Amino acid sequence: MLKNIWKHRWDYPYLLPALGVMGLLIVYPFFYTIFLSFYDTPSSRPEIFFVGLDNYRELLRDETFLLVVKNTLIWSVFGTLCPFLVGFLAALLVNQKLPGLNFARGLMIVPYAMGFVPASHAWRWIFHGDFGVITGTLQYLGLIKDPIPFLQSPALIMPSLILVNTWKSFPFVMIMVYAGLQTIPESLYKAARVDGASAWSQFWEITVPQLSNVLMVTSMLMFISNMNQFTLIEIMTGGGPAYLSEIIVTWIYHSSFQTLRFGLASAASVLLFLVLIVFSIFYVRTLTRSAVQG
Amino acid sequence: MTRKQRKALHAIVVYSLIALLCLFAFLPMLWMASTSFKTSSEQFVSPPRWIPHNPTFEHYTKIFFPTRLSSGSFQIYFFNSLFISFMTTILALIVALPASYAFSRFSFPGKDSAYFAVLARNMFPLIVFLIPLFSMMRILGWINTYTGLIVAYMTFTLPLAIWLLKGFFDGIPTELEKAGRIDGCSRFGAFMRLIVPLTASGMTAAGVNTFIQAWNEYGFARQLTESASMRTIPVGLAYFFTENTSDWGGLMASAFLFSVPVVILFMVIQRFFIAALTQGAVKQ
Repeated sequence: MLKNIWKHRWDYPYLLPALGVMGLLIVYPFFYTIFLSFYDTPSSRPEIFFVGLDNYRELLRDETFLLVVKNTLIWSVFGTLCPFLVGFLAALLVNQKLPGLNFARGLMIVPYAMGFVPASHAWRWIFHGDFGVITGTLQYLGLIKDPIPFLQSPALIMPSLILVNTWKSFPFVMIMVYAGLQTIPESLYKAARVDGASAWSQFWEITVPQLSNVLMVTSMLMFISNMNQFTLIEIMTGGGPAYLSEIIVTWIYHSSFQTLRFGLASAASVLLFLVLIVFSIFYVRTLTRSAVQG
Repeated sequence: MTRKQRKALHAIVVYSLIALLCLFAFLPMLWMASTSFKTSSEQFVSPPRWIPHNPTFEHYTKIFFPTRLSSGSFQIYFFNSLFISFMTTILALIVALPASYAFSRFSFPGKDSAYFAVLARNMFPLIVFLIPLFSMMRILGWINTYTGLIVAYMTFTLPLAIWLLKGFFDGIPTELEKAGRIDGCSRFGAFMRLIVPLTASGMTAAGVNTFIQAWNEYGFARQLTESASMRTIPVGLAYFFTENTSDWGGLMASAFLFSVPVVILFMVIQRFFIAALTQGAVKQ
Protein backbone atom coordinates (compact mmCIF):
# COMPACT_ATOMS: atom_id res chain seq x y z
CA MET A 1 0.00 0.00 0.00
CA LEU A 2 2.63 2.53 1.12
CA LYS A 3 4.88 1.40 -1.70
CA ASN A 4 2.05 1.94 -4.14
CA ILE A 5 1.43 5.43 -2.77
CA TRP A 6 5.15 6.17 -3.11
CA LYS A 7 5.11 4.93 -6.67
CA HIS A 8 2.27 7.34 -7.48
CA ARG A 9 3.65 10.23 -5.39
CA TRP A 10 3.73 12.57 -8.37
CA ASP A 11 0.01 12.04 -9.01
CA TYR A 12 -1.06 13.79 -5.85
CA PRO A 13 0.16 17.34 -6.60
CA TYR A 14 -2.47 17.50 -9.38
CA LEU A 15 -5.15 16.90 -6.78
CA LEU A 16 -3.75 19.06 -4.04
CA PRO A 17 -5.66 22.30 -4.79
CA ALA A 18 -8.94 20.44 -5.24
CA LEU A 19 -8.45 18.32 -2.14
CA GLY A 20 -7.58 21.39 -0.10
CA VAL A 21 -10.70 23.25 -1.20
CA MET A 22 -12.93 20.19 -0.76
CA GLY A 23 -11.47 19.40 2.64
CA LEU A 24 -12.12 22.92 3.86
CA LEU A 25 -15.55 23.41 2.30
CA ILE A 26 -17.07 19.94 2.20
CA VAL A 27 -15.34 17.47 4.53
CA TYR A 28 -14.85 19.86 7.43
CA PRO A 29 -18.46 21.17 7.33
CA PHE A 30 -19.71 17.58 7.12
CA PHE A 31 -17.97 16.54 10.33
CA TYR A 32 -18.63 19.85 12.05
CA THR A 33 -22.37 19.31 11.46
CA ILE A 34 -22.20 15.87 13.07
CA PHE A 35 -20.24 17.34 16.00
CA LEU A 36 -22.66 20.22 16.50
CA SER A 37 -25.68 17.92 16.47
CA PHE A 38 -24.68 16.69 19.96
CA TYR A 39 -24.51 20.21 21.40
CA ASP A 40 -26.93 22.81 22.65
CA THR A 41 -26.16 26.23 21.17
CA PRO A 42 -28.03 28.84 23.21
CA SER A 43 -28.27 32.07 21.23
CA SER A 44 -27.84 34.21 24.35
CA ARG A 45 -24.37 32.85 25.16
CA PRO A 46 -21.22 32.22 23.15
CA GLU A 47 -20.53 28.77 24.69
CA ILE A 48 -21.99 25.47 23.51
CA PHE A 49 -22.98 22.59 25.81
CA PHE A 50 -22.75 18.86 25.21
CA VAL A 51 -26.23 17.31 25.44
CA GLY A 52 -25.71 13.86 23.91
CA LEU A 53 -28.70 12.71 21.91
CA ASP A 54 -31.09 15.34 23.29
CA ASN A 55 -31.40 17.17 19.96
CA TYR A 56 -32.37 13.96 18.20
CA ARG A 57 -34.88 13.11 20.93
CA GLU A 58 -36.40 16.56 20.68
CA LEU A 59 -36.70 16.28 16.90
CA LEU A 60 -38.50 12.94 16.95
CA ARG A 61 -40.94 14.21 19.59
CA ASP A 62 -41.56 17.55 17.91
CA GLU A 63 -44.91 17.51 16.09
CA THR A 64 -43.86 20.35 13.82
CA PHE A 65 -40.82 18.40 12.67
CA LEU A 66 -42.93 15.31 12.00
CA LEU A 67 -45.25 17.46 9.88
CA VAL A 68 -42.18 18.75 8.05
CA VAL A 69 -41.03 15.18 7.37
CA LYS A 70 -44.48 14.33 6.03
CA ASN A 71 -44.44 17.42 3.78
CA THR A 72 -40.98 16.47 2.51
CA LEU A 73 -42.21 13.00 1.56
CA ILE A 74 -45.31 14.32 -0.23
CA TRP A 75 -43.26 16.98 -2.01
CA SER A 76 -40.48 14.59 -3.06
CA VAL A 77 -42.73 11.74 -4.21
CA PHE A 78 -45.33 13.76 -6.13
CA GLY A 79 -42.81 16.39 -7.15
CA THR A 80 -40.96 13.55 -8.89
CA LEU A 81 -43.94 11.57 -10.18
CA CYS A 82 -45.74 14.47 -11.92
CA PRO A 83 -42.79 15.88 -13.89
CA PHE A 84 -41.81 12.31 -14.63
CA LEU A 85 -45.12 11.43 -16.29
CA VAL A 86 -45.33 14.73 -18.21
CA GLY A 87 -41.66 14.51 -19.27
CA PHE A 88 -41.99 10.89 -20.34
CA LEU A 89 -45.01 11.76 -22.48
CA ALA A 90 -43.14 14.74 -23.97
CA ALA A 91 -40.15 12.51 -24.85
CA LEU A 92 -42.37 9.93 -26.58
CA LEU A 93 -44.09 12.73 -28.52
CA VAL A 94 -40.93 14.48 -29.75
CA ASN A 95 -39.50 11.08 -30.70
CA GLN A 96 -42.20 10.57 -33.38
CA LYS A 97 -41.06 10.81 -36.98
CA LEU A 98 -42.81 14.05 -37.89
CA PRO A 99 -41.36 17.40 -39.04
CA GLY A 100 -40.84 20.25 -36.57
CA LEU A 101 -40.52 18.16 -33.45
CA ASN A 102 -36.83 18.97 -32.89
CA PHE A 103 -37.82 22.60 -32.72
CA ALA A 104 -40.58 21.85 -30.21
CA ARG A 105 -38.07 19.94 -28.10
CA GLY A 106 -35.79 23.00 -28.04
CA LEU A 107 -38.70 25.23 -26.99
CA MET A 108 -39.82 22.97 -24.17
CA ILE A 109 -36.36 23.02 -22.55
CA VAL A 110 -36.70 26.72 -21.70
CA PRO A 111 -38.38 26.34 -18.26
CA TYR A 112 -35.56 24.02 -17.24
CA ALA A 113 -32.93 26.48 -18.51
CA MET A 114 -34.41 29.30 -16.44
CA GLY A 115 -33.23 29.74 -12.85
CA PHE A 116 -35.38 28.75 -9.88
CA VAL A 117 -35.35 32.31 -8.57
CA PRO A 118 -37.06 34.13 -11.49
CA ALA A 119 -39.34 31.13 -12.06
CA SER A 120 -40.53 31.22 -8.45
CA HIS A 121 -41.25 34.96 -8.63
CA ALA A 122 -43.19 34.49 -11.88
CA TRP A 123 -45.37 31.80 -10.31
CA ARG A 124 -45.87 33.84 -7.15
CA TRP A 125 -47.42 36.46 -9.39
CA ILE A 126 -49.45 33.88 -11.36
CA PHE A 127 -50.82 32.51 -8.06
CA HIS A 128 -51.45 35.98 -6.58
CA GLY A 129 -54.40 35.94 -4.17
CA ASP A 130 -56.28 38.85 -5.75
CA PHE A 131 -54.76 39.60 -9.14
CA GLY A 132 -53.42 36.18 -10.22
CA VAL A 133 -53.94 35.39 -13.89
CA ILE A 134 -55.56 31.97 -13.30
CA THR A 135 -58.04 33.38 -10.80
CA GLY A 136 -58.69 36.40 -13.03
CA THR A 137 -59.33 34.32 -16.15
CA LEU A 138 -61.64 31.85 -14.38
CA GLN A 139 -63.56 34.70 -12.76
CA TYR A 140 -63.95 36.41 -16.15
CA LEU A 141 -65.30 33.17 -17.62
CA GLY A 142 -67.73 32.98 -14.71
CA LEU A 143 -66.41 29.61 -13.54
CA ILE A 144 -65.51 30.76 -10.05
CA LYS A 145 -66.49 33.62 -7.79
CA ASP A 146 -63.86 33.87 -5.09
CA PRO A 147 -60.13 33.95 -5.80
CA ILE A 148 -58.39 30.57 -5.61
CA PRO A 149 -56.04 30.62 -2.56
CA PHE A 150 -53.25 28.61 -4.24
CA LEU A 151 -50.58 29.43 -1.69
CA GLN A 152 -52.81 30.02 1.34
CA SER A 153 -55.16 27.05 1.64
CA PRO A 154 -53.88 23.88 3.35
CA ALA A 155 -55.43 21.73 0.63
CA LEU A 156 -53.97 23.62 -2.32
CA ILE A 157 -50.51 24.68 -1.22
CA MET A 158 -48.66 21.42 -1.89
CA PRO A 159 -50.43 20.70 -5.21
CA SER A 160 -49.62 24.29 -6.31
CA LEU A 161 -45.93 23.90 -5.49
CA ILE A 162 -45.87 20.51 -7.21
CA LEU A 163 -47.44 22.11 -10.30
CA VAL A 164 -44.59 24.65 -10.40
CA ASN A 165 -42.03 21.88 -10.05
CA THR A 166 -43.74 19.92 -12.84
CA TRP A 167 -43.43 22.94 -15.10
CA LYS A 168 -39.80 23.51 -14.14
CA SER A 169 -38.55 19.90 -14.22
CA PHE A 170 -40.48 18.00 -16.89
CA PRO A 171 -37.96 19.10 -19.57
CA PHE A 172 -35.19 17.38 -17.60
CA VAL A 173 -37.08 14.07 -17.75
CA MET A 174 -37.80 14.69 -21.42
CA ILE A 175 -34.10 15.22 -22.18
CA MET A 176 -33.03 12.07 -20.36
CA VAL A 177 -35.77 9.80 -21.74
CA TYR A 178 -35.33 11.18 -25.25
CA ALA A 179 -31.59 10.39 -25.09
CA GLY A 180 -32.49 6.88 -23.91
CA LEU A 181 -34.99 6.39 -26.74
CA GLN A 182 -32.26 7.11 -29.31
CA THR A 183 -30.29 4.08 -28.14
CA ILE A 184 -33.08 1.51 -28.65
CA PRO A 185 -32.34 -0.35 -31.89
CA GLU A 186 -35.09 0.05 -34.49
CA SER A 187 -34.74 -3.66 -35.34
CA LEU A 188 -36.44 -4.60 -32.06
CA TYR A 189 -39.60 -2.74 -33.09
CA LYS A 190 -39.44 -4.15 -36.62
CA ALA A 191 -39.28 -7.69 -35.30
CA ALA A 192 -42.18 -7.01 -32.95
CA ARG A 193 -44.30 -5.61 -35.78
CA VAL A 194 -43.59 -8.71 -37.87
CA ASP A 195 -44.93 -10.72 -34.93
CA GLY A 196 -48.04 -8.52 -34.99
CA ALA A 197 -47.45 -6.79 -31.62
CA SER A 198 -49.67 -3.75 -30.97
CA ALA A 199 -48.19 -0.32 -30.25
CA TRP A 200 -49.31 -0.75 -26.63
CA SER A 201 -47.47 -4.04 -26.16
CA GLN A 202 -44.41 -2.71 -28.02
CA PHE A 203 -44.29 0.09 -25.46
CA TRP A 204 -44.45 -2.24 -22.47
CA GLU A 205 -42.36 -5.08 -23.92
CA ILE A 206 -39.62 -3.07 -25.63
CA THR A 207 -39.55 0.65 -24.73
CA VAL A 208 -39.95 0.41 -20.96
CA PRO A 209 -37.53 -2.51 -20.36
CA GLN A 210 -34.91 -0.94 -22.66
CA LEU A 211 -35.22 2.35 -20.79
CA SER A 212 -35.17 0.81 -17.30
CA ASN A 213 -31.77 2.22 -16.42
CA VAL A 214 -32.52 5.73 -17.68
CA LEU A 215 -35.84 5.73 -15.83
CA MET A 216 -34.19 4.60 -12.59
CA VAL A 217 -31.38 7.14 -12.76
CA THR A 218 -33.68 10.00 -13.78
CA SER A 219 -36.23 9.37 -11.05
CA MET A 220 -33.52 9.03 -8.41
CA LEU A 221 -31.80 12.27 -9.48
CA MET A 222 -35.18 14.02 -9.43
CA PHE A 223 -36.11 12.63 -6.04
CA ILE A 224 -32.80 13.71 -4.49
CA SER A 225 -32.91 17.17 -6.02
CA ASN A 226 -36.50 17.60 -4.77
CA MET A 227 -35.53 16.63 -1.25
CA ASN A 228 -32.82 19.29 -1.49
CA GLN A 229 -35.04 21.96 -3.10
CA PHE A 230 -34.60 25.09 -1.04
CA THR A 231 -34.91 28.02 -3.43
CA LEU A 232 -38.34 27.32 -4.93
CA ILE A 233 -40.09 26.78 -1.60
CA GLU A 234 -38.27 29.52 0.28
CA ILE A 235 -39.17 32.14 -2.34
CA MET A 236 -42.73 31.01 -3.04
CA THR A 237 -43.99 30.41 0.50
CA GLY A 238 -41.07 30.57 2.96
CA GLY A 239 -42.44 27.28 4.33
CA GLY A 240 -45.65 28.90 5.45
CA PRO A 241 -48.44 29.39 6.24
CA ALA A 242 -48.03 27.61 9.59
CA TYR A 243 -45.43 25.07 8.34
CA LEU A 244 -47.86 23.73 5.74
CA SER A 245 -45.23 23.85 2.99
CA GLU A 246 -42.11 23.60 5.14
CA ILE A 247 -39.77 20.79 4.05
CA ILE A 248 -36.66 19.56 5.88
CA VAL A 249 -34.16 21.84 4.13
CA THR A 250 -36.20 25.01 4.64
CA TRP A 251 -36.83 23.94 8.25
CA ILE A 252 -33.08 23.53 8.78
CA TYR A 253 -32.50 27.00 7.35
CA HIS A 254 -35.20 28.63 9.48
CA SER A 255 -34.14 26.82 12.66
CA SER A 256 -30.54 27.88 12.23
CA PHE A 257 -30.77 31.43 10.91
CA GLN A 258 -34.11 32.61 12.28
CA THR A 259 -34.56 30.85 15.62
CA LEU A 260 -30.77 30.32 15.97
CA ARG A 261 -31.03 26.70 17.13
CA PHE A 262 -27.90 25.53 15.32
CA GLY A 263 -27.54 22.29 17.33
CA LEU A 264 -31.09 21.18 16.62
CA ALA A 265 -30.78 22.10 12.94
CA SER A 266 -27.52 20.13 12.75
CA ALA A 267 -29.25 17.06 14.16
CA ALA A 268 -31.90 17.35 11.44
CA SER A 269 -29.09 17.73 8.87
CA VAL A 270 -27.47 14.53 10.10
CA LEU A 271 -30.77 12.62 9.77
CA LEU A 272 -31.13 13.99 6.24
CA PHE A 273 -27.51 12.98 5.46
CA LEU A 274 -28.28 9.42 6.53
CA VAL A 275 -31.30 9.17 4.24
CA LEU A 276 -29.43 10.71 1.32
CA ILE A 277 -26.37 8.48 1.78
CA VAL A 278 -28.59 5.41 1.37
CA PHE A 279 -29.98 6.94 -1.84
CA SER A 280 -26.50 7.85 -3.11
CA ILE A 281 -25.17 4.34 -2.67
CA PHE A 282 -28.20 2.98 -4.48
CA TYR A 283 -27.70 5.57 -7.23
CA VAL A 284 -23.98 4.88 -7.72
CA ARG A 285 -24.75 1.13 -7.80
CA THR A 286 -27.26 1.64 -10.60
CA LEU A 287 -24.77 3.77 -12.53
CA THR A 288 -21.88 1.31 -12.19
CA ARG A 289 -24.16 -1.62 -13.02
CA SER A 290 -25.15 0.10 -16.25
CA ALA A 291 -21.46 0.77 -17.01
CA VAL A 292 -20.66 -2.92 -16.59
CA GLN A 293 -23.54 -3.94 -18.83
CA GLY A 294 -22.69 -1.31 -21.42
CA MET B 1 -59.72 3.60 -41.62
CA THR B 2 -57.18 3.58 -44.39
CA ARG B 3 -53.48 3.71 -43.70
CA LYS B 4 -53.35 7.32 -44.82
CA GLN B 5 -56.17 8.37 -42.50
CA ARG B 6 -54.50 6.59 -39.60
CA LYS B 7 -51.28 8.47 -40.28
CA ALA B 8 -53.10 11.80 -40.39
CA LEU B 9 -54.89 11.06 -37.13
CA HIS B 10 -51.58 10.12 -35.51
CA ALA B 11 -50.04 13.43 -36.63
CA ILE B 12 -53.02 15.41 -35.34
CA VAL B 13 -52.86 13.75 -31.93
CA VAL B 14 -49.09 14.22 -31.64
CA TYR B 15 -49.14 17.87 -32.74
CA SER B 16 -52.03 18.84 -30.47
CA LEU B 17 -50.42 17.24 -27.43
CA ILE B 18 -47.12 18.95 -28.29
CA ALA B 19 -48.94 22.26 -28.66
CA LEU B 20 -50.49 21.81 -25.21
CA LEU B 21 -47.10 21.05 -23.66
CA CYS B 22 -45.49 24.05 -25.38
CA LEU B 23 -48.29 26.26 -24.06
CA PHE B 24 -47.76 24.86 -20.56
CA ALA B 25 -44.02 25.58 -20.87
CA PHE B 26 -44.41 29.06 -22.33
CA LEU B 27 -47.50 30.71 -20.85
CA PRO B 28 -45.87 31.43 -17.44
CA MET B 29 -42.94 33.10 -19.17
CA LEU B 30 -45.18 35.05 -21.54
CA TRP B 31 -47.20 36.28 -18.57
CA MET B 32 -43.97 37.39 -16.91
CA ALA B 33 -42.89 39.26 -20.05
CA SER B 34 -46.35 40.76 -20.55
CA THR B 35 -46.51 42.06 -16.96
CA SER B 36 -43.10 43.68 -17.36
CA PHE B 37 -44.55 45.99 -20.07
CA LYS B 38 -47.61 47.06 -18.07
CA THR B 39 -48.15 50.27 -16.15
CA SER B 40 -48.68 49.96 -12.41
CA SER B 41 -52.44 50.29 -12.82
CA GLU B 42 -52.78 47.91 -15.75
CA GLN B 43 -51.18 45.00 -13.82
CA PHE B 44 -54.26 44.84 -11.63
CA VAL B 45 -57.08 45.11 -14.20
CA SER B 46 -59.72 42.43 -14.48
CA PRO B 47 -59.98 40.45 -16.73
CA PRO B 48 -56.21 40.00 -17.04
CA ARG B 49 -54.79 41.29 -20.32
CA TRP B 50 -52.15 39.27 -22.15
CA ILE B 51 -51.33 42.15 -24.46
CA PRO B 52 -51.04 45.46 -22.58
CA HIS B 53 -53.25 48.26 -23.94
CA ASN B 54 -50.71 50.91 -22.95
CA PRO B 55 -47.39 49.13 -23.24
CA THR B 56 -44.67 50.91 -21.31
CA PHE B 57 -40.92 50.58 -20.99
CA GLU B 58 -40.92 52.43 -17.66
CA HIS B 59 -39.82 49.36 -15.69
CA TYR B 60 -36.88 48.78 -18.00
CA THR B 61 -35.87 52.45 -18.12
CA LYS B 62 -36.03 52.50 -14.33
CA ILE B 63 -33.65 49.53 -14.24
CA PHE B 64 -31.20 50.88 -16.82
CA PHE B 65 -31.41 54.60 -15.99
CA PRO B 66 -32.34 54.94 -12.31
CA THR B 67 -33.05 58.49 -11.15
CA ARG B 68 -30.42 58.01 -8.48
CA LEU B 69 -27.86 55.26 -8.04
CA SER B 70 -28.54 53.87 -4.59
CA SER B 71 -26.84 50.89 -2.99
CA GLY B 72 -29.93 48.83 -3.78
CA SER B 73 -29.92 49.47 -7.53
CA PHE B 74 -30.20 46.73 -10.10
CA GLN B 75 -26.87 47.93 -11.55
CA ILE B 76 -25.07 47.17 -8.31
CA TYR B 77 -26.73 43.75 -8.05
CA PHE B 78 -25.92 43.07 -11.66
CA PHE B 79 -22.26 43.97 -11.20
CA ASN B 80 -22.05 41.82 -8.05
CA SER B 81 -23.68 38.84 -9.78
CA LEU B 82 -21.44 39.18 -12.82
CA PHE B 83 -18.22 39.62 -10.86
CA ILE B 84 -18.91 36.81 -8.38
CA SER B 85 -20.05 34.34 -11.07
CA PHE B 86 -17.09 35.17 -13.28
CA MET B 87 -14.48 34.83 -10.53
CA THR B 88 -16.13 31.62 -9.29
CA THR B 89 -15.86 30.18 -12.79
CA ILE B 90 -12.19 31.07 -13.18
CA LEU B 91 -11.26 29.72 -9.76
CA ALA B 92 -13.28 26.51 -10.18
CA LEU B 93 -11.71 25.79 -13.57
CA ILE B 94 -8.15 26.40 -12.34
CA VAL B 95 -8.62 24.07 -9.38
CA ALA B 96 -10.66 21.45 -11.27
CA LEU B 97 -8.44 21.15 -14.35
CA PRO B 98 -5.46 19.23 -12.87
CA ALA B 99 -7.70 17.27 -10.50
CA SER B 100 -10.03 16.03 -13.24
CA TYR B 101 -7.00 15.13 -15.36
CA ALA B 102 -5.62 13.05 -12.47
CA PHE B 103 -9.00 11.35 -12.01
CA SER B 104 -9.12 10.55 -15.70
CA ARG B 105 -5.54 9.35 -16.27
CA PHE B 106 -3.80 8.21 -13.09
CA SER B 107 -4.44 5.18 -10.90
CA PHE B 108 -3.15 6.32 -7.51
CA PRO B 109 -4.37 4.70 -4.28
CA GLY B 110 -7.47 6.41 -2.90
CA LYS B 111 -8.66 7.56 -6.32
CA ASP B 112 -12.04 5.82 -6.22
CA SER B 113 -12.99 7.06 -2.77
CA ALA B 114 -11.86 10.61 -3.58
CA TYR B 115 -13.92 10.59 -6.76
CA PHE B 116 -16.90 9.17 -4.89
CA ALA B 117 -16.60 12.07 -2.41
CA VAL B 118 -16.70 14.50 -5.36
CA LEU B 119 -19.84 12.92 -6.80
CA ALA B 120 -21.49 12.50 -3.40
CA ARG B 121 -21.42 16.26 -2.74
CA ASN B 122 -24.12 16.73 -5.36
CA MET B 123 -26.41 14.45 -3.37
CA PHE B 124 -26.52 16.72 -0.32
CA PRO B 125 -28.42 19.97 0.04
CA LEU B 126 -26.28 23.10 -0.01
CA ILE B 127 -28.18 24.60 2.89
CA VAL B 128 -26.81 21.92 5.20
CA PHE B 129 -23.29 23.18 4.45
CA LEU B 130 -24.32 26.74 5.21
CA ILE B 131 -24.31 26.40 9.02
CA PRO B 132 -20.61 25.39 9.30
CA LEU B 133 -19.60 27.67 6.40
CA PHE B 134 -21.29 30.62 8.05
CA SER B 135 -19.34 30.20 11.29
CA MET B 136 -16.13 29.60 9.32
CA MET B 137 -16.66 32.76 7.27
CA ARG B 138 -17.36 34.72 10.44
CA ILE B 139 -14.06 33.61 11.96
CA LEU B 140 -12.22 34.49 8.74
CA GLY B 141 -14.01 37.85 8.53
CA TRP B 142 -15.35 36.97 5.08
CA ILE B 143 -19.04 37.60 5.74
CA ASN B 144 -20.33 40.28 3.38
CA THR B 145 -17.28 40.10 1.09
CA TYR B 146 -16.80 38.97 -2.50
CA THR B 147 -14.06 36.57 -1.34
CA GLY B 148 -16.46 34.87 1.06
CA LEU B 149 -19.10 34.21 -1.57
CA ILE B 150 -16.64 33.15 -4.27
CA VAL B 151 -14.97 30.66 -1.92
CA ALA B 152 -18.32 29.39 -0.64
CA TYR B 153 -19.46 28.82 -4.22
CA MET B 154 -16.62 26.32 -4.66
CA THR B 155 -18.76 23.95 -2.55
CA PHE B 156 -21.02 23.16 -5.48
CA THR B 157 -19.15 24.43 -8.56
CA LEU B 158 -15.93 22.48 -8.01
CA PRO B 159 -17.48 18.97 -7.92
CA LEU B 160 -19.54 19.82 -11.00
CA ALA B 161 -16.52 21.16 -12.91
CA ILE B 162 -14.38 18.13 -11.98
CA TRP B 163 -17.12 15.76 -13.12
CA LEU B 164 -17.63 17.52 -16.47
CA LEU B 165 -13.93 17.98 -17.23
CA LYS B 166 -13.12 14.35 -16.36
CA GLY B 167 -15.65 13.34 -19.00
CA PHE B 168 -13.77 15.40 -21.59
CA PHE B 169 -10.35 14.05 -20.60
CA ASP B 170 -11.73 10.51 -20.84
CA GLY B 171 -12.49 11.22 -24.48
CA ILE B 172 -8.90 12.24 -25.38
CA PRO B 173 -6.72 9.28 -26.40
CA THR B 174 -3.75 8.57 -24.10
CA GLU B 175 -1.45 7.99 -27.10
CA LEU B 176 -1.07 11.75 -27.29
CA GLU B 177 0.80 12.06 -23.99
CA LYS B 178 2.83 8.96 -24.79
CA ALA B 179 4.02 10.57 -28.03
CA GLY B 180 4.79 13.77 -26.15
CA ARG B 181 6.82 11.90 -23.53
CA ILE B 182 8.88 10.21 -26.27
CA ASP B 183 9.55 13.65 -27.74
CA GLY B 184 11.02 14.63 -24.40
CA CYS B 185 8.14 16.41 -22.68
CA SER B 186 7.92 16.05 -18.90
CA ARG B 187 4.66 14.55 -17.65
CA PHE B 188 3.36 17.91 -16.49
CA GLY B 189 4.65 19.50 -19.69
CA ALA B 190 2.71 16.99 -21.78
CA PHE B 191 -0.41 17.80 -19.80
CA MET B 192 0.00 21.57 -20.09
CA ARG B 193 1.18 21.76 -23.70
CA LEU B 194 -0.61 18.89 -25.40
CA ILE B 195 -3.76 18.15 -23.44
CA VAL B 196 -4.93 21.48 -22.03
CA PRO B 197 -5.17 23.17 -25.46
CA LEU B 198 -7.41 20.32 -26.62
CA THR B 199 -9.90 20.87 -23.83
CA ALA B 200 -11.03 24.32 -24.98
CA SER B 201 -14.54 23.08 -25.73
CA GLY B 202 -14.65 21.11 -22.49
CA MET B 203 -13.47 24.13 -20.52
CA THR B 204 -16.10 26.28 -22.22
CA ALA B 205 -18.88 23.84 -21.39
CA ALA B 206 -17.74 23.38 -17.80
CA GLY B 207 -17.16 27.12 -17.44
CA VAL B 208 -20.58 28.13 -18.76
CA ASN B 209 -22.16 25.56 -16.49
CA THR B 210 -20.30 26.85 -13.46
CA PHE B 211 -21.24 30.39 -14.37
CA ILE B 212 -24.95 29.52 -14.63
CA GLN B 213 -24.88 27.72 -11.28
CA ALA B 214 -23.22 30.66 -9.54
CA TRP B 215 -25.48 33.17 -11.29
CA ASN B 216 -28.65 31.42 -10.10
CA GLU B 217 -27.56 30.70 -6.52
CA TYR B 218 -29.80 32.09 -3.80
CA GLY B 219 -29.38 30.59 -0.28
CA PHE B 220 -25.67 31.26 0.23
CA ALA B 221 -25.86 34.74 -1.24
CA ARG B 222 -28.80 35.57 1.00
CA GLN B 223 -27.06 34.47 4.20
CA LEU B 224 -23.44 35.46 3.51
CA THR B 225 -24.21 39.05 2.49
CA GLU B 226 -25.44 41.73 4.85
CA SER B 227 -25.43 45.14 3.20
CA ALA B 228 -27.55 46.01 0.18
CA SER B 229 -24.42 46.91 -1.80
CA MET B 230 -23.20 43.30 -1.65
CA ARG B 231 -26.40 41.59 -2.82
CA THR B 232 -26.54 39.56 -6.00
CA ILE B 233 -29.59 39.78 -8.29
CA PRO B 234 -31.39 36.70 -6.83
CA VAL B 235 -31.13 38.23 -3.34
CA GLY B 236 -32.07 41.67 -4.65
CA LEU B 237 -35.25 40.24 -6.19
CA ALA B 238 -36.23 38.78 -2.81
CA TYR B 239 -35.96 42.22 -1.21
CA PHE B 240 -37.77 43.90 -4.08
CA PHE B 241 -41.01 44.76 -2.29
CA THR B 242 -39.31 46.24 0.76
CA GLU B 243 -38.27 49.12 -1.47
CA ASN B 244 -41.14 49.18 -3.98
CA THR B 245 -44.55 48.17 -2.66
CA SER B 246 -46.29 45.63 -4.91
CA ASP B 247 -44.59 46.77 -8.11
CA TRP B 248 -45.03 43.46 -9.94
CA GLY B 249 -44.14 45.03 -13.28
CA GLY B 250 -40.76 46.07 -11.94
CA LEU B 251 -40.16 42.67 -10.35
CA MET B 252 -41.10 40.82 -13.55
CA ALA B 253 -38.88 43.10 -15.65
CA SER B 254 -35.90 42.46 -13.35
CA ALA B 255 -36.58 38.70 -13.25
CA PHE B 256 -36.92 38.66 -17.03
CA LEU B 257 -33.63 40.51 -17.58
CA PHE B 258 -31.98 38.18 -15.09
CA SER B 259 -33.16 35.03 -16.93
CA VAL B 260 -32.47 35.99 -20.54
CA PRO B 261 -28.64 35.67 -20.53
CA VAL B 262 -28.80 32.35 -18.68
CA VAL B 263 -31.40 30.85 -21.00
CA ILE B 264 -29.33 31.90 -24.04
CA LEU B 265 -26.12 30.49 -22.53
CA PHE B 266 -27.91 27.26 -21.69
CA MET B 267 -29.24 26.93 -25.22
CA VAL B 268 -25.72 27.41 -26.61
CA ILE B 269 -24.11 24.70 -24.50
CA GLN B 270 -27.09 22.39 -24.05
CA ARG B 271 -25.58 19.77 -26.37
CA PHE B 272 -22.51 19.36 -24.13
CA PHE B 273 -24.61 19.52 -21.02
CA ILE B 274 -27.09 16.90 -22.18
CA ALA B 275 -24.24 14.61 -23.27
CA ALA B 276 -22.69 14.87 -19.80
CA LEU B 277 -26.03 14.37 -18.06
CA THR B 278 -26.94 11.29 -19.99
CA GLN B 279 -23.53 9.65 -20.34
CA GLY B 280 -23.94 7.61 -17.16
CA ALA B 281 -27.59 6.81 -17.52
CA VAL B 282 -27.76 5.78 -21.17
CA LYS B 283 -26.22 2.53 -22.31
CA GLN B 284 -24.07 3.30 -25.33
